[in-house]
This record gives sequence, structure tokens and C-alpha cells, in this order.
Amino acid sequence: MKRILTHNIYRSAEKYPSQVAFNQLDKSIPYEQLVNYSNALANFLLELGTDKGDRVGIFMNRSLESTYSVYGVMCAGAAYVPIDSNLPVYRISEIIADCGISIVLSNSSYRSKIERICHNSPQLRVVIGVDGIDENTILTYSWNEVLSAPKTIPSVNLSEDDMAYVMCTSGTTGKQKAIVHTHYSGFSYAKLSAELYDVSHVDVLGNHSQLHYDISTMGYLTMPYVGGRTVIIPEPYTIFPKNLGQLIESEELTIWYSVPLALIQLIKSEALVDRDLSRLRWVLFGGEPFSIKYIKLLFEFIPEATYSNVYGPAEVNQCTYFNFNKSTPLPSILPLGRAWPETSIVVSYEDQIEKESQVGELLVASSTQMRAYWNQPELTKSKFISLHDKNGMLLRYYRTGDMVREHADGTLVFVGRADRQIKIRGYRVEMNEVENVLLSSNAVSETAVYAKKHEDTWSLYADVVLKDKSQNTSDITKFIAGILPNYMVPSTIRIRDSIPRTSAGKIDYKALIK
Amino acid sequence: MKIGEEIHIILRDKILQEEDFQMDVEADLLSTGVLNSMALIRLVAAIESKFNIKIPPTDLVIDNFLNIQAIQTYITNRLQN
Repeated sequence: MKRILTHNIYRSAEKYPSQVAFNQLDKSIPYEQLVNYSNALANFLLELGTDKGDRVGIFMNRSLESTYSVYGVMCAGAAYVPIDSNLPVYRISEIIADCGISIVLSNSSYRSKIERICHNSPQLRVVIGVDGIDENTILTYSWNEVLSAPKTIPSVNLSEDDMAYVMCTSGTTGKQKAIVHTHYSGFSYAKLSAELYDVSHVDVLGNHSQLHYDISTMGYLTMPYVGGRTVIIPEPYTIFPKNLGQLIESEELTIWYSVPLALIQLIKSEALVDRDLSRLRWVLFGGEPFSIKYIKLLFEFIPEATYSNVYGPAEVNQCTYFNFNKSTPLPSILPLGRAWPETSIVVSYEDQIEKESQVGELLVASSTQMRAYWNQPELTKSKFISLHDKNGMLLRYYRTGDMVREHADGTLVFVGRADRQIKIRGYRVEMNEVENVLLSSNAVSETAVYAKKHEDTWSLYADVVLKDKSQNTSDITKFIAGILPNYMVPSTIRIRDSIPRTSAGKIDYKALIK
Repeated sequence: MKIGEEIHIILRDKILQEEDFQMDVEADLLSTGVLNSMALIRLVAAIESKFNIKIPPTDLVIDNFLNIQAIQTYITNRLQN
């Protein structure tokens, strides 16, 4: 079978036309309708002049429109670029410019923000889903108009190497990295995850993740591959764990996949007490380490389920798994587990010290890996390395930057990062990027950004030396919040006379963290 | 001042810090990106100190926070009891 993501909805619609593909509370989209809406959007986009390989932005909350947006864009031969709606307008305009986006799909939820984005993005031509935007250069269409376009299958010839979607993430230089996935890599993820977790058309997945976050690929890509149902959890339910607990029960979810934080909130707010969660057969989590303390609490509420620690940077989707249940003896730190199929992993030791400690950087070559970073050939080149695998095959390995220890049985354990990247609420934060943004302010002459851990969660600190002494910490916070997403805004900013440095003149982060 | 107006001021000055913030009392605060989990925690703290009440975790549900109207009804009930 050719690995083309759009084939999955056509196949599932043929097999299970009236089966619900996506629902949000009482609104649902059966597979037949998903295909019709996706075709209509694709034909509409083609009519607007969308070409193969174009990037189309999706700027939405967790909504049903997002589901046919994803497939409509791909059916038109273009790649979808999810845009985090919480980002400052400045950063969103940067994504639109960098990815060369001229069409954005949206809905009425973020009306005033989309107006500001239009004002700041000269190359934007079309906005779908928000009408009457007061900007002369921009054409707007309602979803009603779009969905009344012809529902015939668009005549676009897709190949496995074509670009399917782009995920934007924090970069070190103060610019984002846009990860390019192809139909082949996205389809491979759908296939491997469906096989590993034995997912079928009777399964119901709770999608808690926003579209710009790679955890969403299971709901949006894997479930249509098998013809299963994905519940797009509405925004309010992600804010109130009590209601979320109720939803997990009433939707009869069989698979849960989220960042650990969402599960921790469910536990802490006692949202799982007295709920019948017996249908839940898989609890998947990933994005950051999950403390054993909370896992043991989860066992009390969901004793029957199998759990999976999912690991893989967005560049490779997923690459390892550690599956366990209530009766598995667990070490004090949850392992990353072992490689899944179609994947070769290598632990690379830089020097003798690393070799003796058996801690090295994890390199991954897999069918699920990205093609490149969009428009950054140098960066792409630096992140890939060609090596021979065990069978003598020359493969292109992605350097994860994650330091791991490999046990004799092939199990990997996460030790730390090779660079200065941390995860805050599941989001990747490059501390160097925060520093570069701070330094771009006229008020700041020197800065050091670092993180400290309190009770399993990281907090970001910034020490700054001021050029403009009239500024205070809230001025600095305001400046940075206008450029970076809120999870990258340091919670503590301290003004100091100088930044401690090592004898070599480098910032002494060890002294700062103490 | 009416409770609804007080909530509007809290949202404008303390939570969103947008001088030109305008919100209909029935407009959805939760689906439109006005309130996220972090903002909710700040809102709850601000309401607790302004109205001198303690909001228990069991009351942190969608029905009580969907829009300004709902928050007003919740606070009114709490102040009466």
C-alpha cells in the first residue's frame, strides 16, 4: 500500500461510511461526511490557485472544523501548518512569513486576533471561516461557502515524498524551526502506532492536544487510518479537569493520549474518583518525563488499562515505547523503553568519559522521521548524520540532542539534554532562544536564562543586566510576552549588576541555578 | 458596583491586561482563548480576594465559569449563603 495520508479517509469512508470519524459533544462527522467536506475544501483551495506543496495555515481552537481542514488541505496537495492560537501576533506573523503562507483557515472564535494577524501579515491573501475582515487586501469566505464547493475527489496526484504537514517548534537562534513531515512519514506514524497499540475501528480516542502539538497526530492521522473515532475535547473541558473526568467516562473512551500534566490535573482535582473508566484500555503519555508517584495514583483509578510512555521528538514523531501495567515492577525513573518497528537507534558517545558512563546522544533513523526543517538547509544538515546500521545499510540519522543510557536488553533511559532545552508543560523551550529575544530589547545588555525544578515542574528564570536603568522587571516581562509564547516567558526576572561567568568567560549557569 | 462589572474589571486589569478589553456578559470565555488554565488560576485568586470567599475545587466546573454571567450568578449564590 502506498503511504499517502489522504487515502486513509477514502478507504475508511468506503468501509465505514456512517461510522463517526470525529465528534465534539453532540456534534459529529461520519467518515462519509469527512470525505465530502475535505473534497469540497480541497476543490475550493484549488480554485483559489493552491498548488502542490503550498503551505496552508490552520488557526483554530480545538474544533471540528480543524478535522476537515487537515484533510482538505492535504487532498488539495498542500501541507497544513497548525498555528498555536496562544502565540503573540508578532510570532504568528513570523510563521506566516517564514512558511510563505497565503491562505489561513480559521473560525469565528479568534476574530479579533485574526484581524490583528491580517494587519501584520502582508503576504496573507485569503482567510476562510471569519467573514468581514476590514483589510482591503484580504479575501474572506465563510465555511458555508467553502463546503458548498464540488465534492468530487480532486485530481491531485500525491506521492509519498510530498509534504503533508509542518510543525513549528522553538529554535535556538530566536527563530522557530518548522518541521516538515511528508505523507510517508505521517502515514508511517499512523500505521506503526495503530499496530503497536492494536487500534481498530471500534476504538475511541480522546484527543486532548491542540493541532500544533505532535500528540495530535494520533487523533488526526492514526484513527482515520483504522476507521476509529476521535473525540476532539472542547476547550472548556481542557481547562476544568472535573468536567474532563466526566467526559472520559461519558464518551466511553478506549484510548487516552496526552502530556503528563493533563493526567496530573485529573488526579489532583479528584476528577477520576467514582468514575467508571473500565473501557479505557490504553493510557498513553509523552512530551516530558512522568513521575512514578503519579503513575501509581493513576493505577488506583484506572487499574485495568495498559500504560505507554511514548517517546520521540516531533522531528521523528515517535521512536520508542515503554508499555507497562499495574503489575509491572517499575524502576524509580520510567524508561523510554525500546525502539518500535522501522526504526534504527544508535547511542553515540562523543568521548571516552561518555563511553565509560554509558551515557550518549540518541540518534534515530526511522520511517516516521521528518524530511527537513523548512527553509533551513544548514540547520537540517547539522541535525542529520549518515551512518551504517547493524546490517551495513547507510541510513540518515536524526540527532535528538537527548542524552540516554542504554541497558543490555536494549531499553533506553532518559538522562538529560545535550543542549539547553527543557520542557515546560510539554512544550519545548530552548533557553538560548529566550536569551536571544531578551538581548534584542534595547533595554537589556546582558542576560542569562536558566531553569529550576520545583516538584516535577520547571520554572524559567532570567537574570538581566540593564542598559536602560529606567526599565523595571514588568517592562521586561511585557516586552518578552509580546514576542514569545507564554510558556517561554520567564516566571522570575531579576535585575542584577553583572552575570556570573566562568574563568573561560562563559555564563556560569551552575552558579546561577544554585 | 454590580458584580458583573467587577468581574469585567478583574478580567481587563488583572488577567488579560488589555486596556480596550470588552466582553459581552454572555460571550464564551472558555472556547475563545480568553481564559486558559493559567488565567483561570489567577482569576479564581482575584475573585477570592475581591469578594472574600473561598472557591473550593468542587466548584471549579464549566457551568460556573462559562461567561461573565455565569461567574456573576455563582458569586451571588456564594455571597447569599
